[in-house]
Amino acid sequence: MNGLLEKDILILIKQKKLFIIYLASALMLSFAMDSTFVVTYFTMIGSLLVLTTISYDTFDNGMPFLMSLPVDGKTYAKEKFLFSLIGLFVSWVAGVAAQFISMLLQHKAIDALDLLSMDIAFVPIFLIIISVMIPINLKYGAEKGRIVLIVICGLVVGIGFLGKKLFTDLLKDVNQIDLEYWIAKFASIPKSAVIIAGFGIAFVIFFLAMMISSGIMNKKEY
Amino acid sequence: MIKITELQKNYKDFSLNVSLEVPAGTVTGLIGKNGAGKSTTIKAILGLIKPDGGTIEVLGANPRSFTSKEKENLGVALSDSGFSMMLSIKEIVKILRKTYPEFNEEFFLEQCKEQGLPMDKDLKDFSTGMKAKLRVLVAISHNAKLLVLDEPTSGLDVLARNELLDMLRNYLAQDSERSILISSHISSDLEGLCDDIYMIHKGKILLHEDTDTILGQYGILKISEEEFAKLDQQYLIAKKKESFGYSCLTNEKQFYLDNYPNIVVENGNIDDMIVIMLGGK
Repeated sequence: MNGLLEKDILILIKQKKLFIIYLASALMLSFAMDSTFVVTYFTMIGSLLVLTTISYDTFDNGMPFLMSLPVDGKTYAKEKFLFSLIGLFVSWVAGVAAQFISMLLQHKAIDALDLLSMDIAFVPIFLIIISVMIPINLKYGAEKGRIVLIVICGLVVGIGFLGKKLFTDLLKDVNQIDLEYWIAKFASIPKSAVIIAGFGIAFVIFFLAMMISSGIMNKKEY
Repeated sequence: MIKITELQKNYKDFSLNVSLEVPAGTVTGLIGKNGAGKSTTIKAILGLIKPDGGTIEVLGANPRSFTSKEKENLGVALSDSGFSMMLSIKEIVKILRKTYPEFNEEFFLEQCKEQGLPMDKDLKDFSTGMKAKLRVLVAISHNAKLLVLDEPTSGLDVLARNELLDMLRNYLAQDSERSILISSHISSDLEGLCDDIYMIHKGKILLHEDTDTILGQYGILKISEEEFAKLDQQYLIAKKKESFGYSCLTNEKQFYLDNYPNIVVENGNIDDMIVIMLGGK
């Protein structure tokens, strides 16, 4: 596991130019866009760096050799999830730092607690995105993985559309459901509770995805 | 070290069915043409593919369920797979340090220097020979009990091949229990290194013999059609039609030398053996 982590970090460090472009564009955007944008942008790029490492592993038929090192499928999958968590954490911290610096430079009033609670609310979404992307990339590879992801996105939109339609029809039929009441009730839940619940759900999905990924790697042939 | 019994693996246009054994302290060669099944056999030994039948035992365990700890005893060099081309030896050392508890960094760096491998250059700028040497160096620098080498000398010139084979001889000299399974399509590499040789063709083992036996007892008879007709053919393994008559492979060279003093009997070598066995009837 440590050797794999070292490898992934070394390969990323080699891409210095990419990092400089990424940092420069994030800083420029932080002046032009809403201040939380820079945090989400940083975190998104940082958490998805893991997918780059999967591509590098498979590039030049590297996987047979990697899997003949003292590494089993489960360890490989676990390392990718750990690496994604590190990437997410580091990039989130960097994003928040960039956000505060840019606000200070622009002499904007900073409500640190409010800003941080906004910033942290995005994290579970990225955890879920990672949890979907890693097993897809491990199973189908980078190229096919993109197609599978598009299909999944299409399905989610389709199911959402259908669900919404069914729900609206249901509401028409069942007059007892008071939608406004439920919306108001949901809005009254404290923000902190929503964030904690979000993290809870995201981590459950994260660990499930890690187990699925271990299974994928153990079954794979090279 | 390795015991394969009736290993089967079926692909759309290729089927593998082999049995093979590598005892402790021996160097076993796996020779065959490209596409004969050498790499598939090696992949099965490393647990990289799932066999359709048969059993494989490597260092006392099933390679498909190898733990990380068990894999530490394996040194592997594959012809078409290795560390990322973006990395340099300096960086690979950092990875190996954290991968193998018994990684002998001093030995590795010393060997790299001796072989003239640059420390700071990315692997993508290495020559074929440099890459091959590095792959073998990685395999032999962490006190592995068993080396599995797939075509380690492929694409190398004679000098580079000899240097690489010397590296393997030194590795063996350090511990009599160490074993190597080495595949190659270059027979001279195997003749000078292996204790025994398996010849594989179209997914099947055609021949398994000690190298000394091949070199000492095997021979090639070069005879005309008339001589062939009069020949006692009970010790012929294979024959191949030639312009002058037949080339025949025998594992009883002495019998023909004693009884047919007028025919040409050449000493056995693996290349000729392959040509007659795979090209003949």
